[in-house]
Amino acid sequence: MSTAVAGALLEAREVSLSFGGVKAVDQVSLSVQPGDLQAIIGPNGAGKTTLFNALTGYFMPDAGEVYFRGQLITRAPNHVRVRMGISRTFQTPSIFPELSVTENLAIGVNSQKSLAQRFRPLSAAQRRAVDERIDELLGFVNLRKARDQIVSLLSHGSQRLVEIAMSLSVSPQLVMLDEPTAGLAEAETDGILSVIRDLHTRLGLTVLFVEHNMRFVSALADEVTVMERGRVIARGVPTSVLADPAVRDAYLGTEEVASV
Amino acid sequence: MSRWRTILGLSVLALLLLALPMLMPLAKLDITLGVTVLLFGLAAASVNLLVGYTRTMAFGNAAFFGLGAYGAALFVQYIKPNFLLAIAVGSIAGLVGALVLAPFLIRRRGIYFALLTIAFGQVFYFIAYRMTNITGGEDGMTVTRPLLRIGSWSAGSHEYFFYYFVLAIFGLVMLGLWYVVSSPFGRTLVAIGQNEVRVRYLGLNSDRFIFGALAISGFVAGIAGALYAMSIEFAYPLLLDWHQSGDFVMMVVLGGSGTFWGPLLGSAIYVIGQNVLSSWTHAWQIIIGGMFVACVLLFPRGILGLALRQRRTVAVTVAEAKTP
Amino acid sequence: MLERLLPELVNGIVLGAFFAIVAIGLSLIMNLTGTINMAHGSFMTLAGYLAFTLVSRGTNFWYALIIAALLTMVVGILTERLLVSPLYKRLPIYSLLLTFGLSLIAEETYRLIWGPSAVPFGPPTYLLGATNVFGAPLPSYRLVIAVVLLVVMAALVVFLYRSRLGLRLRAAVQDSEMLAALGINTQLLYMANFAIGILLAGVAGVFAAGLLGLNPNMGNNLLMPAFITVVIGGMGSLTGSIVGGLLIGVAVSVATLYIPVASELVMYLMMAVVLLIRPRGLFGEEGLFG
Repeated sequence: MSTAVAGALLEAREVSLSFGGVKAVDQVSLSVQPGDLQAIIGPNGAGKTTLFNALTGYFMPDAGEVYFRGQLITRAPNHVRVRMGISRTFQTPSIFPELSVTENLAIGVNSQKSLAQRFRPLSAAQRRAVDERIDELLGFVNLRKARDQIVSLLSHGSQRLVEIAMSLSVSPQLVMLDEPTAGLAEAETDGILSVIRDLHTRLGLTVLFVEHNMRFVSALADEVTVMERGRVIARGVPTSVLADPAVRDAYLGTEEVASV
Repeated sequence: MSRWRTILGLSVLALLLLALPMLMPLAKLDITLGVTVLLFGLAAASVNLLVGYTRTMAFGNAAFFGLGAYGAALFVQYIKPNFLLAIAVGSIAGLVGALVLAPFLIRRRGIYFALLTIAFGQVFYFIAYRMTNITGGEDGMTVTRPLLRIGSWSAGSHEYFFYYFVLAIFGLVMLGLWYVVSSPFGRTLVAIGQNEVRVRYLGLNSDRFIFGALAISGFVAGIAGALYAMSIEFAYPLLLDWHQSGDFVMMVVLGGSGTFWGPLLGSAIYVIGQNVLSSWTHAWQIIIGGMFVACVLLFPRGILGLALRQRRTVAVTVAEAKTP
Repeated sequence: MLERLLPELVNGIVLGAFFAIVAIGLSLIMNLTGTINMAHGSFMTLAGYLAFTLVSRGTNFWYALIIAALLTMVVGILTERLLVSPLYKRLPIYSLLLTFGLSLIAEETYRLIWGPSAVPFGPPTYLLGATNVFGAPLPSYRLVIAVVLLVVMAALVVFLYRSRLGLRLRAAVQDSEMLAALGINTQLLYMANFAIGILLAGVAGVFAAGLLGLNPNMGNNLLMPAFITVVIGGMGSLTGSIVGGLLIGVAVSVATLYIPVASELVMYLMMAVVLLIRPRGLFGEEGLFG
C-alpha cells in the first residue's frame, strides 16, 4: 500500500470511526511533523477526542490508516503505540487516585526502564536512577513539594500536572493532550500553558492537543485543525483559522471564538 | 512511627499464631480450626491478589483450591503417600488450573471476567463430582495423612506438629506474597487495580500482568487446598463449588480488600465465627449471610481497610465511582 | 431411532426453555446494571415453595403459579430497592457478593420453614400422563411447560420491542445517563427491569419445582447452566440467551441418549468451543462489558 509522507511523525489518512451508525470521525487526515505544536479545535461533539482515541489505539478505526515514524500502526494495541513513542492525557485526568504522586510517576518510569515486571526488588543503583528521574519529572511540572501527596486529594490543576508528568515518564516523542485546561481557573491555565510550552521548547517534544480555550490555542499552536461533526473543516495558522467564516459558523452562538 | 507500628503488629501476630495451640483449648476450640483459619487465609490471599490488588472479579478460586486438594489426595492415594510431594503436586495442580483458564480470562474484564470464573469454576466442580471412580464423586474421597518425613526425621502424628508445619508453610507463602506485592511487578498490579487504562498508556501490557497474577493465585490456592485435604484427610467436590469461591471472596472483603493481612483476618472471622455460631443455632448460615450483606452495604472496605483509612479517605470513593 | 430421538428433542426443548428463561432473567439484570444476581436461583426456589404452600391449601395449580410468581416479583422489587440499588454506583463485585449473601440467607430460611428435604410438589394430576405427538408419547407436563415458556419468551420479546417501557429499558442498556438527562426516571427503570427478571425466574421456579423436585437448593441447580447459557449465547444479547439455552438443552438431552453419565459435559464442551472460536459468545457484543 501507500507509504507515509516522508518525515512525518504522526500521520492519519482518511481515518473514520463510527459508533452505531453515527460517524464520529469522518475521513480525517492529519500530519504532524517532528517539532510541531499543533491544536485540534471544534465545537462539542466534533469528534476531537474520538480522533485521539483512534490515533492512540483506545478504539480501532473503521477505515483509514495511521502511521507513526513511517510505520503503520492503525491496529496496534495502545500499549505498543506508547512504547513506540506516543503518549497521551485524557479529558478527565487518568491517574492512580489512591497512590502518591511519586508512586504514580514510578509506574511509568519503571516501564520506561523495563523494570515494571520485575519480581526482584530494585538494586540501590536502580532505585537511585528511578528516584532521580521522578525528581526530574516533578521539577518539570513544579510538583516537588507534593511528591508524597495522595493524588486524589490534589487540586484538579495539580492532577493534570501529575498526568502530564506521567505522560513524560515514558520518554515519548509525541505528546497528545486532550483538553489540558478543562475545568481550570485562569491562574492554573497559565501554569499549564507554560508547562506545555516548555514541553515543546525545552524538551523538544512534538505536541498535539485538543482545546476549547482559544486564547490558549492562539498563544501556543503553530497549526490548528478545525473539526466539526467528524470532519475537518479548516486548517492553518491560528489567526487565519479563527477568522475563517466557516469556523465562526461552526461555533455560532458559542462564547469561545467570540472571546478571541 | 508507622514502621514501629508495623513491627509491633507483626510481632503480636506472630506470637498469637505461635501460641495458638495453647490458646485455642482455652476458648474451647480445637486446634484444627486454627489450621483451617491459616489455610483459608491463604486461599483468601490468593483471591486478594486478583480482587484486591488488580481488582479483577475472580469468583472461581475455589477451583484452584479444590484442584490442590484433589491433587494431593489423589497423589497420596494412588501414587505415593509422601506428604511433601503431595503438597507439591497440589500446588502444581492449582497452578496448572490457573494456566489453563488464563487464556480464556485474560481478554475479559469486569462482570464478563466474573461470569467466566464462575462458569469455569463449575466445570472443575463437575469433573470432581462426576469422576466417581477416581474421585469418589459426591461422597468425596478419604485419605490418610502421611507422616511428614524429611530425610530420616519423621514428625509426630500429633495435631500440634501438623499445625506448626502448616504455620511454617503459611509464613513462607505469605513471605513470598509480600515479596511479590512489594516488587515492581506487585506495584504494577496495584496500579492496574487503580486504573488499567493508564497502565496501558504507560506502555505496559496489562494482560500479561493479570496472567501472572492468575498464575500466582492458582499456585497459592493450590498449596492451601493440598494442605487442607491433608488436614481433614478428605477431599470432596463442594471444595470447588461457587459457594466456596464466594466464601473466599467474602473473607477478602470482610478483612479488607487490597490490604495484605485482610484475608487472614477475614478467614479468622469467618471460620471461627461459623464454628461458634453453628454451636449456638441451626440457622447460623442466616447470620453469616447477614454478615456478608451488612459488610457489603455498610463497611465495604473491610476491617483493615477502615483501620488503614488515613491513606484511603476520599481516594476510595473516587476510585470506586463508576462514572467520572 | 427417530422414536427415541424425538422425545429427547422435545425434552431438550423443555430443558432448553428453562435454561433460556433463567438466562434471560439473569441477562436482563446484568445488562442494565451490571449486577450478577447469585440469588436468582433463590428467587426461583421461593416461587416454588410459595406455589407449594398455595396448592397445599387447595389453590388451583395455575392460580398458584401466577400468585407465587407475582409474590416473588414483589420480594424481588423490595430486594432491589433496599439492598441492590445502593450498590449500582460501586464496583460490580459488591452486588455480586450481596446477592451471594442473600442466597445463603434464603437457602437457610427455606430449610427452616419447609425443611431440608424435598417437599412433595407435583404437576396437577390431569397433566401427569402423556400426550401423543407425531405418534410418540411425550409427558404432558413437559409439553405444557415448553409451550408456556416459549409463549412467555415471545411475550417478553414483543414487550421489549413494541412497548414504551420496553423501548426505555433497551435504551437504558445503551446509555442510562442520557435517559436520566432526558428526564426519565432511571431508578424506576432499574426496578422494573429487575422485577421482570425475577418474574421470569418465578415462573420458571414453579414449573421446575414440579419437574425437578422442590428442595432448598433447587434453584441453584438451574443457576449454573443459566450462567453457561449466558456465556455461550453472549453477554448483552437476549437472542443469545434464547438460542443458547435451547441449543444447550437439546444438546444435553440428545447426549443423554448416548452418554448418559456425562451429558452435562456437553454443556461445558460447548462453552469451551464457543469461547475459543468466538470469545464474546454466539450473539455477544464486543466490548460492552469488558
